[in-house]
Amino acid sequence: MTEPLELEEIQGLILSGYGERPVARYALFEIIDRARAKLWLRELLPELQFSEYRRSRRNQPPFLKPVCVNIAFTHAGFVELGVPAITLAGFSPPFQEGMHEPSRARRLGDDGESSPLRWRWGGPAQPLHGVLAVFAGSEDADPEEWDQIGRFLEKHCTTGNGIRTLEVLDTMPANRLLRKEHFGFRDGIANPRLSGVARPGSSDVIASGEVILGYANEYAKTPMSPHVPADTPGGATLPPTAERADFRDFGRNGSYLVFRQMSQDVKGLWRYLYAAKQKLIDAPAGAAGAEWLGAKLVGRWRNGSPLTRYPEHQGPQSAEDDNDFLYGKHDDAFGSRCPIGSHIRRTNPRDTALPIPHDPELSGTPEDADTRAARLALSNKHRLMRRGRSYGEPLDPAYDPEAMLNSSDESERGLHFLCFNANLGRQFEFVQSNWAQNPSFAGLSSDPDPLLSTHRRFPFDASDFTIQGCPTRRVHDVPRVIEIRGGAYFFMPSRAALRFLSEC
Amino acid sequence: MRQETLTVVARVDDIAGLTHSLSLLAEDRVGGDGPRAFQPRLFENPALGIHFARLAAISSQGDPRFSDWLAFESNFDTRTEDPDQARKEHLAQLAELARDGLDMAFRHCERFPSTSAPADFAQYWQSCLVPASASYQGHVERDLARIRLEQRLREVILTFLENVRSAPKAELFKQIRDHVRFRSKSDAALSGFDVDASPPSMPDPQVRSQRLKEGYLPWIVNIAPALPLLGELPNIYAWQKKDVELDYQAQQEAWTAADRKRFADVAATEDHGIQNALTHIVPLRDGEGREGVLRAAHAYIDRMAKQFFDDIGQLGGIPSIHFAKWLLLDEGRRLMFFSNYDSSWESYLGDFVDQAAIGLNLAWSCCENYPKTQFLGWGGADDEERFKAWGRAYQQPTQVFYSAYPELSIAAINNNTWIRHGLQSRPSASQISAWFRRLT
Repeated sequence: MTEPLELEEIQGLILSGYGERPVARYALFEIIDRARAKLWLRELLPELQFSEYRRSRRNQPPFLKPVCVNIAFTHAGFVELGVPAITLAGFSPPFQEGMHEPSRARRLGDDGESSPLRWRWGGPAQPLHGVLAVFAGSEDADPEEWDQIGRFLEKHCTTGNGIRTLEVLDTMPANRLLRKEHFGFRDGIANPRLSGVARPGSSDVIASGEVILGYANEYAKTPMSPHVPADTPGGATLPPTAERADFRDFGRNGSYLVFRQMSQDVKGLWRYLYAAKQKLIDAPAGAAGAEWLGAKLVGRWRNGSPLTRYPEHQGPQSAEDDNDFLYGKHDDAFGSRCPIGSHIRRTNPRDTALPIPHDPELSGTPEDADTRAARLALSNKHRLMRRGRSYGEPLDPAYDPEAMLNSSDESERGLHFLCFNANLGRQFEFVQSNWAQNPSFAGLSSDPDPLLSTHRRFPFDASDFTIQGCPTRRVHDVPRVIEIRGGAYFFMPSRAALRFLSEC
Repeated sequence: MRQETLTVVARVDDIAGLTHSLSLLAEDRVGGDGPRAFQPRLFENPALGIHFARLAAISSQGDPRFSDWLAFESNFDTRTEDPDQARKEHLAQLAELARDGLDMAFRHCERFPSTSAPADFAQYWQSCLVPASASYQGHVERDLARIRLEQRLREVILTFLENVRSAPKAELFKQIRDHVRFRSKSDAALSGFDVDASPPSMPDPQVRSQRLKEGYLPWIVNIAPALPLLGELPNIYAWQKKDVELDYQAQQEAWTAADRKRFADVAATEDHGIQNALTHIVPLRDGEGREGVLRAAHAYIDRMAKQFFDDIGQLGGIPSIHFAKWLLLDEGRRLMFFSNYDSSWESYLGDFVDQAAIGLNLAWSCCENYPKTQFLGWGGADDEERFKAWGRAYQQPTQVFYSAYPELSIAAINNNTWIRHGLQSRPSASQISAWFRRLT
């Protein structure tokens, strides 16, 4: 029996990407006056968007607010707010150490231009304490909605409220029809559903505890969570812990938020695709060849249709996400349709047999449903709830590759990658280091993630991409097309924990 | 050529000095641009035939029951059948070829000879050898030269395929063989390789296939070393009731600055290649009989490794270990575990939990603060987050870690071997299809 989620307690962004609110800004802030900041938090609390609206019937309250606001803090932010030391020590170790910690940066591939020492925000020297994420708008963005957010931030992010804005990150108004990221591929497709809110019969469901603290995870265990001594001022409002009578649970209904600003070299990628397809003996001729190679690198065609379903040509544009597929089940166990090393396959291998897909003797045959289910269960221990939005103007409004290549626009564009998970080590960091960053992923040898991780110094400089089939083909020297410009780990607390923060 | 392992453990009288010397040795790297750039130079000499080696300062962590140690591990090629003789020869070689570096480390140890005679060094190390209570090897019967040759073969084949027109598989296979035959004449890395000769008899794909089909049978056939556990059942039953579950939340809340520094030191040594070293040392739980139970459980694991796991390239379902061993220190009161594994720590410990909880529980359930098990085998490591917290809490940095092939996973090494086997055999049509899939 799956435990229902306490929706009143869970901040809205954890369970929804707010697709209905196309305009978004993220304000990164520093706390400069603890007492004022606490007062401000108390005032802010009623304005925040929580998740109870998800329970209401159509056209009945509570509704999603016109301006959806959520807040999250770094570990340093909790220190500034005066959270007890024992609670601070109870957070997940990666969160305590921060994304910029040198060993972590090596593991995540954040080197060279992406080094935390060069980040615009979130680097080791910056006093980054929290982020306010503000979403507004209805159908399509108009300037009034930007102003709405602007007015909200002006009102709240003031020294009078004890905080100082370090950086305001804008996003590109989300186009709900196209939903493209800057390289031109449809994005944001494959988010899992949480068991606590999934409708019966839903596919791709994972345990709520994979994202939200306080609920059972895929191991049927409750994630470790920071505790507060029950006699701390304000502690009484927090929920009890399962094991310790004299402590309260600060983490329940909260989630760890990964935030990385990634700039994308759109022309660099397409320039490479046009050049590399020339050397590929059986790539389609002309522009179609570059599109085909791009689809191989990504694992989907530009309109989002998956290669596993549509190996030869782009599938039909569908309003619904085309995501209900598995690799082994759909005759693609060995990568002949969607390459083993492609971006979508290595960041969510589904029922791919790891670490060696092509060795059925060792890892079981893909025809066997139990084997596939066991593999899928393993992959599902490393899922992320992604909430990213693009920033910067598209190089071409229609994302046409040739038009993008011919554009004279040299401004920066990229993705504000946001994702939630309950276990930073087992989920985000695992996916980034073992799957994306790893040149030997799934029996490959020198193939890191073609979008995220080529030409990194560690574990060694690698940049091949292998296209399985008969015969197997390779391309070399895939360029480095993503750089990290800023990043941090945040924790997005529950309503009760926010109330505690305003009182402790 | 087979592989052997040795572990020298010497009592240290100046652990601060030792740690400093080890950091100097670690910083003296191979260099250059390749995957081996970050490997310590100390063990690089090919004549040593070292696959993996490490030097680690094992701290008593202020516990008066224990000593500080310097642990030196080498996993090496040898033609000598007798394990003791093979180790003796390897130590003599080290004394000749790696003496200066090792001298820097061992000079901080008790009774280390002050002479410069290689024989004295070798004899000293010989006196400090500690046998493993259990050990495992993920790719048997392949020396360094063979691993490199098979790596090169795969590369030559994949490069060839980049420029060849599609054709029926049997035809392509023939073209590949022709190409390899031709390249063997000019490619120094393939020198001596004869595509028309028979593949080496070991490791044998048929043995592996047979083993993989055996299911639980090997656990029963090889149970003899575990039989002493029956006599310990009253003890094991008593522990069920007595052993309490550690409050991992409280343990984490109580981390000291020294603990945090150690975690950071461990992390600083990790993820420089696709392989990592785990150096883990944990006291046994209090109480009579723990050591006996642990030794019997380990003898069982060791037998299973030699008779079963070594052949299939997986230790109890874990496919990512090159060489691993357990051994007892401090008069049997601390258990040390060394592993040379692929991918990150998070992935490796995850494999433990997902694939091998029972075997793992057998290995460690007698150890302090290990997540509570039922009858040695069940429970325990199935609690992922708490098991990992336990794993990290008893890990110590591996200051000097050497891999001869930091770009090659176990999966790749074994896959390259099967590619070579296929190339030198005459596969059937269905075998050719499977063979092409390996070219990934």
